[in-house]
Amino acid sequence: MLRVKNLSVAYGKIQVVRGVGFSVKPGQIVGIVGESGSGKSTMLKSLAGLLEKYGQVTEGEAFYEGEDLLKLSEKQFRKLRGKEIALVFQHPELSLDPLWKIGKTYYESVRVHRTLSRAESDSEAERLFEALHLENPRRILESYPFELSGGMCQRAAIAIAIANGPRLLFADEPTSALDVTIQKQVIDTMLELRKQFGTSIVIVSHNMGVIAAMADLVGVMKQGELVEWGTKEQVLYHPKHPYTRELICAIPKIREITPNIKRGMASDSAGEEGSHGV
Amino acid sequence: MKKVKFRAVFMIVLLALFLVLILFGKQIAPNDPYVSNLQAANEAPSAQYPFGTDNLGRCILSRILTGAAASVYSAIFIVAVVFFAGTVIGLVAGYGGGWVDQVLMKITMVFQAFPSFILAVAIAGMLGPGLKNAMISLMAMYWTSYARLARSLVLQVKNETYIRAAFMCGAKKRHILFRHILPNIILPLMTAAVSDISNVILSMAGLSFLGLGVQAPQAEWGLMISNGRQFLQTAPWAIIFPSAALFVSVVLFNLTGDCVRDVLNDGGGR
Repeated sequence: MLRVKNLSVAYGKIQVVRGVGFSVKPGQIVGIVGESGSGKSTMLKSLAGLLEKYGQVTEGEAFYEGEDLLKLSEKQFRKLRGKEIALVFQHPELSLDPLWKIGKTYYESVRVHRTLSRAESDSEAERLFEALHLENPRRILESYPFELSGGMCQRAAIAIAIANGPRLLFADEPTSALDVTIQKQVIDTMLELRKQFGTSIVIVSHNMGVIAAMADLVGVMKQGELVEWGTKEQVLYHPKHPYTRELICAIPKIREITPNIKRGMASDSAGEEGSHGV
Repeated sequence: MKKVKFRAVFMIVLLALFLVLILFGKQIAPNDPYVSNLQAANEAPSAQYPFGTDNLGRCILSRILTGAAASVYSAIFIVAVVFFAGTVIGLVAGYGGGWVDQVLMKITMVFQAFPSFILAVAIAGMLGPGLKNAMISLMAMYWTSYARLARSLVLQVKNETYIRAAFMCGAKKRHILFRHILPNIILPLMTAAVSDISNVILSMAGLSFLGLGVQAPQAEWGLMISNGRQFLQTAPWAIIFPSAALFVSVVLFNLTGDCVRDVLNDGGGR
């Protein structure tokens, strides 16, 4: 459903994305990994039409259902946003209007594409939140973003993003601002989304663990180029490119740090006793 | 927090009382503010004329009460207009960007290139004296600060993630501008407006003092001060009491503005 060909993006004269190409089939989850500055977020933004003033697509095509996203007029693109294509941002608390309760934000984003009353919107939101296993949907709808935890905000933001039933969801580092236990919940929410609605997801992350937990296909980006592309098994267990191997080796292993933690705990308690003496 | 809120409520009640008082100024006035009585000219405060009389024997208290509307209500009206117009211009400039922003900001700069009160004096002088023209000139003097403030606030807010999230939902620009951006920047603009009222009162009195604002025989504080100036040594009350009225109203509006700002800075009551 999405086919990206030879996509290049530049900020001024600096090429940030160079000739990236991949495709996404309905219901597939595609993970793009790479370190900071590898151009993965920029690539996603250019597909969503969210590039800032200085960024511009210099080359390439991105076909969504036969239409080139990069050549759409602003008006045509606006009709796709939310309805066909949605995006989830990195910072959940910041992606919800601080002055609005979740229910209102949901209502406003639904109203963009459909006509329905606030009560209808509320009951629809409740059903959607329940389907995505968010506890106590009524309370969430009645809350302001600052009253919710980061993980809850992100899951609500995901629900709002898909309120109009888009078939393609972009997720830009959706778990990076959350702590590890919460990341799991957000991942589960997205997997649930795919299971129930068949939504295709393109997720960009620097976190190998998140990609491993979600993606069917994995792409590795380095300095703006897609250096490796394949199924999760191929890329994670039989990496061909040396950079992918480096990335995988860079995942911290709990076993290696456990002795340090133990040592740290011992010295901490010693320090405490010392300070009591003073 | 409680104390701050209490003080703000207290100031707002006080200000409301003051506004009601001057709304009925004409009715409360003990004497006719326009009847001159040359036999009672420049009389010291007495039971009949609590604030004394001016050089034409008119009751100063009555004139202060009657003139309050011209001074205070015209100032509130001016601020309301420049608040609205400046905010809209700033919103359009900040959100539109590009050449729209350039053109609007260059116009603002032209207005700001002159010392502001000199500009008002020049415009009022060109249009001719009178309350209406004085108000127009003061609007020309004050709208720029709102346009600039609104623009800079829009620039701060428009790159927030929730604005992009709304954009990604397919929301229209107008919708984003008025439903998301405006509510998020309105509070600082409103505090600026409340504390600006006192400045406008002073500028209005200044224009009238120079003879460019309200014309005699109509009562207005700045004009009264200007008239009383010649008799400063023999009849100081003719200048002291209108000045005191000006002082009280300016202080009232300033303190209220400060209190409102304090409350809003405490987290907008959320």
